Amino acid sequence: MMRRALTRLPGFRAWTTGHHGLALSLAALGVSQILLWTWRWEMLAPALLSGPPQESLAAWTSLALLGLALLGDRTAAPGRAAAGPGSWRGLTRDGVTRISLLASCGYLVVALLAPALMLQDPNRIGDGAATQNLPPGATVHLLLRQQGGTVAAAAVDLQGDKIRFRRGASWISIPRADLLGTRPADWHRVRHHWLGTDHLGRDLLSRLLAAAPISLGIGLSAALLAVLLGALVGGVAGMAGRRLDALLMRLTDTFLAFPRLFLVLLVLAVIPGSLVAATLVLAATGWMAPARLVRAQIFSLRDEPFVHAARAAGRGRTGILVRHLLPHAVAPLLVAASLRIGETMLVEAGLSYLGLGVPPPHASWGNIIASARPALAQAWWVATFPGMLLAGAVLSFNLLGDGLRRVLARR
Amino acid sequence: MGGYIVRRLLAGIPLLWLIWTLVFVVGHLIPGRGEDLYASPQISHQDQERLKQVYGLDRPLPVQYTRQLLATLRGTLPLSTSRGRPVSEIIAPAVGPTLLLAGAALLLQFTLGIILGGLAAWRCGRVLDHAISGLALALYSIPAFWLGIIMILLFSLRLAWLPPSHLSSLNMPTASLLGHVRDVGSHMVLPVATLTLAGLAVVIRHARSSLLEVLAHENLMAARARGLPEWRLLFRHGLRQAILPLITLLGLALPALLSGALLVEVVFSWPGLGQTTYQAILARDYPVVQAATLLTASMVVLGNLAADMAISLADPRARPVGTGS
Repeated sequence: MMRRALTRLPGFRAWTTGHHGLALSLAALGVSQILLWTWRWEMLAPALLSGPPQESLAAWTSLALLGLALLGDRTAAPGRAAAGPGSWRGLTRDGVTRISLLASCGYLVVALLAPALMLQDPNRIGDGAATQNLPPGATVHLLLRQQGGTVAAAAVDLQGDKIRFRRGASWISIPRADLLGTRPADWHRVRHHWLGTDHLGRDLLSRLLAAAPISLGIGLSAALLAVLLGALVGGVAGMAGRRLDALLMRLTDTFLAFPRLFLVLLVLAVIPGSLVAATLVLAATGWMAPARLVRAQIFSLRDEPFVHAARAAGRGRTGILVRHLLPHAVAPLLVAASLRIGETMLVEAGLSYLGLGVPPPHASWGNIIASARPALAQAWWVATFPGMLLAGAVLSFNLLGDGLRRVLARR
Repeated sequence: MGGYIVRRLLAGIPLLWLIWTLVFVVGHLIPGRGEDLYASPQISHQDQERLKQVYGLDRPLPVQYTRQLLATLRGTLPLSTSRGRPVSEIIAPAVGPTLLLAGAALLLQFTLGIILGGLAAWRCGRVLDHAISGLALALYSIPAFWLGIIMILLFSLRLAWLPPSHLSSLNMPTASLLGHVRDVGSHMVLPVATLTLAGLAVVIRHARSSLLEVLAHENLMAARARGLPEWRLLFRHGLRQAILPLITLLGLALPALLSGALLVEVVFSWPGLGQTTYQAILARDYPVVQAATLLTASMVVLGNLAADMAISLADPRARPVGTGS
């Protein structure tokens, strides 16, 4: 009985068949999700049925990951053939690419689970000097008052029937009777800020987590849209007559002549900034390279026998393009997309830093860096951590794209 | 040769016209419409109508298009809506600082990039190569504006070595020329370093790959067989042949350089084109944004033309048939 239960644990089967790396990651995935469910049960369980979309998404993602950890172990059949060079599984053989794949997936998972991982409301503004610009690892003491409301303090000192607490540089003393209840547990709460707070006393870690789905979401969707738009323009240019082709290519040249940020700002100067606007503008200024790629691919293929065969079989130009030519461009487009994600995220962060990308109620890594400006000298952590997260995300997507390209080149 | 240069210059004109048209279209056709920017709750309805007449915005679009295009060709730019002065007066003083910043960064990028790329190509597949390629990838992933902020944090606020912003000190006494140069120089260090590092990765990768390609050629193998030292092979013979793709890159790197310069200028309060554009956007001053965008795009076109010409000067094979000198 005990043994059978053991074999059901995520990662057991993969371990016994010799896939140790897979086993460890499956086990880590399973255990982390179980821990998450036991820790945030009150939040996740109701979110499965109703609640804000982000929370439902987080709950269902967590369930799906748990399922993946269990099912992934089942499919780890003994003696599966090792990956040959150039196969898709070759992606997981190269050390750097494997790490980048793990890191990219990690970023995505954290972004999806962000509402469940946040310990505090990312937009809650702290109470005065006792909560502002706190260094990483700081604790805030919250004193619950008899007449309602709380007082935040950097340090608390119990002295007989008086309580002294520190706000900013000064110590304040109030009678013990002013506070709620009798035992310290009644009136005393502690709030931890692992990464410190910003100039408004907001918890930096929660803000970074809240920003993850927005920064990654805009990066991913804008890059994907840009690649689709590029495939459309490139496909039409490749298949259409010479005049339309020339026109579209001049248009591409025109777009390429602009420094991207200036073009984006030109548009955002006239339309109000929003998440959708930022995504669309980033997509509309990033389609040129994929368009050239697809056009070149079509030019190299359109006199191949299989295209002539399709034409002889009566397929129209659109049919040939969609069914016969674009599938050949999928692999390079995939590489282009994954290399584009990082670049798009950098431009989005730049825009948000300027205050023209993601608008204020939402957090994005770029506008968190911007919010570090007023107190840069006092609080280095507000600017440093989001930039590191952003650089890490861009680096892992770029490495993943590089790895994809190498695998495809070997094919 | 002269005919070729003239023809290349002429070929740039339609592109400039398309760029101008795109800027016009963005300003007039997308929702929000550039003209509504002149509307503000503080301005009465009659005044708004008068403003529209002054700026010619009450006319149908084709008329506006032609009039504005002709005006641009004559060199008369519209008035800035936030400052009421001609746009050219606002843009012109910003061009110098941007050219200074971007030019210095471009120069440093290519010097450092070629040296590092050359070293990586020389030790291809070894530790140094991996280290340099890793550095390039890391630099490619770091947001330029964040790098600038970290530099300010480290070198201006913590160590207090260098000034954090602006082109020169405000309280400079009427200094000698040398003192002025030193002052501007110390203000330049951080922005130029930031912008250089932001674009260095592309140059390193490009230099490395084109040098590797050249090194595989037979003539270099022959040189190696003659016993030339490796560094000499690389930097004397290899670089000479790898210079052409690098000149092309010089033209291609311009858009990214100017985009990066915009953010770096905002971070360091550098009084350049990017900073001017940013301030104009905050003031909803569309004519200035338009003019600055046009100007940077034209810089890119001219830069690419210059690179093409440099190539045709350096490499007779790149000249089109029939223009041989």
